[in-house]
Amino acid sequence: MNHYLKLAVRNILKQKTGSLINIFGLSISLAVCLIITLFVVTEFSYDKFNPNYTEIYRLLRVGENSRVPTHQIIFNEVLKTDLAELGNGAMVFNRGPESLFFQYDNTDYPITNVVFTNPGYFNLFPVDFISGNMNTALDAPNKIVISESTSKRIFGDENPMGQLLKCDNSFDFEVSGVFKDPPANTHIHAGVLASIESLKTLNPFMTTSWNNTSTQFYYLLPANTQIQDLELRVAAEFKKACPNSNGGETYQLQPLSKIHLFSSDITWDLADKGSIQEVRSFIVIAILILIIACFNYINLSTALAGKRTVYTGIQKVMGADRKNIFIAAMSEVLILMLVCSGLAFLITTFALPGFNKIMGFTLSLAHIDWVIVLIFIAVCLFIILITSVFQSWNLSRISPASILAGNIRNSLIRGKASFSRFSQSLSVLQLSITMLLIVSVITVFKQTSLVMEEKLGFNKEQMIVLQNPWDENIHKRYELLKKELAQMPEVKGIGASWNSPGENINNYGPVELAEIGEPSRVLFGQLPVDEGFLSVVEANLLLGRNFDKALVSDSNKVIINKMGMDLLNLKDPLGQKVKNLFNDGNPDYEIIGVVDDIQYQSLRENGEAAIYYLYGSGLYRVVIRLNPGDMSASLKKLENIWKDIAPEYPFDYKFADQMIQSNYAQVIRTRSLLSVMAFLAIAISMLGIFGLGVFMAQRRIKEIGIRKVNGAKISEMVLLLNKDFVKWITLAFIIATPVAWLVMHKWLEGFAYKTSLSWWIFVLAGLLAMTVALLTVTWQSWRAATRNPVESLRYE
Amino acid sequence: MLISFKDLDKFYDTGFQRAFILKGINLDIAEGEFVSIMGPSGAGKSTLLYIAGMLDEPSAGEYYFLDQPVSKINEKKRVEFHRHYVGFIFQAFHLIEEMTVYENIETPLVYKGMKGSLRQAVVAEMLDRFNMVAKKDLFPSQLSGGQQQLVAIARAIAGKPKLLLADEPTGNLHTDQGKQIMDLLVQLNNEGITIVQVTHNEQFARYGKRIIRLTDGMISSDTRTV
Repeated sequence: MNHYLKLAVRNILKQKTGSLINIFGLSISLAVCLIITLFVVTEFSYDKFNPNYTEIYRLLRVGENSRVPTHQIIFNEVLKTDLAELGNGAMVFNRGPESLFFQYDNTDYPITNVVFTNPGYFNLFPVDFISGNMNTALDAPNKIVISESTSKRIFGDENPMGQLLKCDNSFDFEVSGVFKDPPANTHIHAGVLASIESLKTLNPFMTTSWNNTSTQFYYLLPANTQIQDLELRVAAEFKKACPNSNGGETYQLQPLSKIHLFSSDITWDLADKGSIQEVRSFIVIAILILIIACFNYINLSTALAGKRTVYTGIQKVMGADRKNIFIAAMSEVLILMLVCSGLAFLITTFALPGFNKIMGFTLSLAHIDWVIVLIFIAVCLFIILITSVFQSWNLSRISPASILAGNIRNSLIRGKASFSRFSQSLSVLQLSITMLLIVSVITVFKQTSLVMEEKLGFNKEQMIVLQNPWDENIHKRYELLKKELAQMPEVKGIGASWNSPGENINNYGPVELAEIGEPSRVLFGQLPVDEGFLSVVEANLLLGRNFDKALVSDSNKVIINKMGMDLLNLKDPLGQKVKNLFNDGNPDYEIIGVVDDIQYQSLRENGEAAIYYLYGSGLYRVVIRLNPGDMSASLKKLENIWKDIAPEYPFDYKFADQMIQSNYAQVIRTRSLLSVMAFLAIAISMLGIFGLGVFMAQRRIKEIGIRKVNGAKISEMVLLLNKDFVKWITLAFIIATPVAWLVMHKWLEGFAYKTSLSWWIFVLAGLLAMTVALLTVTWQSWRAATRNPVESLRYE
Repeated sequence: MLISFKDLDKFYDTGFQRAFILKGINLDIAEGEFVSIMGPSGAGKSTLLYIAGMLDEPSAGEYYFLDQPVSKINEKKRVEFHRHYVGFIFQAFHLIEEMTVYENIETPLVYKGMKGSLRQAVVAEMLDRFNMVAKKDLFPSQLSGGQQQLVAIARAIAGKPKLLLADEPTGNLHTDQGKQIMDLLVQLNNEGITIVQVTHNEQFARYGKRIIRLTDGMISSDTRTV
């Protein structure tokens, strides 16, 4: 073995160009592989630390084209008593990214992901209590349990137990427990857990209404539970218990193992969700990059040095069999891979922070465990095996007689002629993969611009969304603010709504046509607004008119969106009367206008029906449009006004365009990754092409000499040498186009609105690959073509 | 019989034509012979040599090596023959440039599966015999052509083959160096190794005990030297 290793090292050192190209390609692709493994393993590790991992299920309501995880609180009371299996459950009302303000010692602490739940929560999702205990911590109204880090943040080193926290200026919570921060890889990131009993005073409607569906149910079900049977019984219970049920509801119990990665179709879900599609595409991309680097290795190590074939010929003459040649080939890859994996770790160390920044990940080399190391080693071994099998197969096909006869010069040229169809097809495949990645990048960019720009339904520029916290003064505050802002030249307009565009709609309720009644019933996003809202967001009014404050009668008028009009099957919606069952007991509403769909959540989901109506209270979001100018000065001014009006609340605002950006974080992430990967793919495969260019020029040096002696021009020679590459790229284009079309078509299926896969995307990708490749080889070709033919022909 | 060709043809089909490299070769070479193959360029000398060395295959006819039909033996057996019965030397020496003199001589023994200590002994013996002990750690590029060919010979015979095939072994050497190599081949032949060499050089051909002349792929004469 020693013999082979020694030789391998010398070979690697001798073929500098080839080895450098290989080391570059392999170590970069291994680093990519390592980072993606890190990501994938993290994604699959979600909630695994939970001892009840295999027995926890989440209840989902299954609609026609969506699944929803939220239910009516009173439904759980029914289930708990009627179905024995569901006795052991947790209700989770998650406030999600919307901050609740907790006040302690005259300071406001905005806290996101506040979860209201029952004591049973800790049976399902155990936490380590530092103080307090799981049975009593949440057993009464106004009790909250906080995480260690939250406690540090609010109380510092003080003992938080028994302290009072004022929530949104109106309710006092008593801290009844502190728990150790759970690991980050969980789908519920709750830093504060409040007793669900508190909702009875906070929001009594929520705890009694069949029309308020905002709470998630989790159950602990032993392994032998008949899940499907139980799902049917839940549906039957709902039909029996819910007054408005039409009996069509179906339910699903989603295992905990599926929540993080297999929930991308679930709407109105506040779980920390990944996407299995994303994980899969990352894995595929890593594999593709590895393939490109491996192909480089196989092609370059056989082709770049014609000596390699001579060398194999000699080995054979000396009695080497396939096994010996295989071991020799393997030793070389082995050493190269050792170097490359070391470099890969180094590259990863340096690239990871940047990568995290681009991708919004928090990956760290500290997360590397034996699983990742094993995967990494397996990948390395696989590469070593595959490349040495290919290489030794490729080499042992060569007949030594053809290489060894005659003198060196002659044999070298003949040896190089072994650059076979096989190697050519590797190059073509490599180029196809590169083109596939380029097409993907262009398509993803096109799609993101469609959903983030064209299909917004409102104007996200210069628009800020201000939080107006709920209390009895919410309406008064808004009116004051409106009056103040009317005098500010920086402000173009102001409006208010329950939810702003770009965030989830909080409330859904059934709407039906007054004439037809129940059969026409459709679930609508409920959006109480003021009369300024639709004009300030610059919604596109398709039919009818906007609300008018001057008309008192507009309080029983509604505006619906295009999707709502379609779902209600209205041809001529103006003047039609609808019943909005969400607002119990209200009279019929008249439709006075239709707006184009405004984007609330991301357009992965189908557009939703939405209904807008005037409402004096509950306008949590103040939408302000600023005139172009000094943004920070305008904001400062706004803040001062806010401080005057509502000194007890922080000036908490978001930019609409940033909200949109974060809604598409995942798509943007895929886009960034694809861009980086496409760039690396181009770099690695173009290095390969460069190597082949060197080789092809060498191989044909004599031919060029003869042609030049016979009067060929340099340009003709360059053309001659480039012809092969053009041929390969064309072939790669033909292979890549249908594959890329299929892949992208499949990817777009995940979106309700799809960009078109125009022909120019493919042509552009082809031209790009062609241009870069030709730039790479032309230099080589030109050098070969300008060489003095005497040199190459002297010895014949 | 060590080598026996029966009605051997080697040809390439190109378009509508069949180009013969070798045609109707009937030839026996016994153990212990020293045969020189001569002929003009393109007469098929080297091809015949490579077929004899089982590096190339005839298109028609049969080749018997140690009375076994080569066309019927498998890859494994062929490798066995290479390892134990056949040594090669070339005009271009074909030493492995990344290996030292020592390692070059050692390589066939590694393939043969010889144990480390025994290998060491054999290589030492070879180095000693060819007066290369001082040069054992040099690389081929640091040696003269004649020295390189000596190493190539040492490598070829280290495995104690029955047959040594030489493809213009003196083609790249000065006359003096060439003579030295030829003397060595005679010496090896006297020790019992069968030698078949291809050469252009009349003088060196006469070192052989038998001269076979090829013209257009056919044997035109087969004479014993005195």
